[in-house]
Amino acid sequence: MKADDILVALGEVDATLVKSAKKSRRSNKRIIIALSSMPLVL
Amino acid sequence: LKDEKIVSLYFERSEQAIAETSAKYGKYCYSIAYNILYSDQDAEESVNDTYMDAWNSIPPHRPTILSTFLGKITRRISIDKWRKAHAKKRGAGEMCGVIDELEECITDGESIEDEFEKRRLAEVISGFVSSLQGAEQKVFLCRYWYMDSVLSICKQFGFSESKVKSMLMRTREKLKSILEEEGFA
Repeated sequence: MKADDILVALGEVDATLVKSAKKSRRSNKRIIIALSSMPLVL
Repeated sequence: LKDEKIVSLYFERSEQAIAETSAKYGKYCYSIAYNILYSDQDAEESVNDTYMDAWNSIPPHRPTILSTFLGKITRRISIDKWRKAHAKKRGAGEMCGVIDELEECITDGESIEDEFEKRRLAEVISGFVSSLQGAEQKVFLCRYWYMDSVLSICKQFGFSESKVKSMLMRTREKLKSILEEEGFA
């Protein structure tokens, strides 16, 4: 087996898991943006 | 436009389907292709081939998650392109790093040609990815499905480089052990 066989096989991974990996990236970004716009209270 | 409407446009054989797909998912597909091919021109070609493939497969196919359906086509087309271009030489981009890392999981150097074995490998790998939890699963998919760079993964998850590298290394070790158990490595 070659390493790219693994990459090709990974293409068959469940679509919801693939989408969820992408989704978390967006929500992480949203959290960072929200935190950066929060007023700093000392 | 909602995905359901875009899919309907394909079913109506309206060329507007391609324009709407490009507007909504063009950048998403391009980023997948570029991570693999590391060339503007090749990535754009892959994205255009993706639209053509989607046009030919919808109908009869009705994708449940349009983004992943398109991303999967882009990824397959781009990996094929990469394989053809790099049959002898190695190139730039994330693919070389990804391939080097995955080589740790295998011992044999022969490509799998048998369709039954290809399907079995896909099932084993799908089961393996489903068994991973939380960030480990997401980081693994970002690196080996989306071919994101380690640096990009660090930024996305807020992890240090050493944390991402060690997470990926542990996951590859688990994958290697599963592949050995299943007779693939």
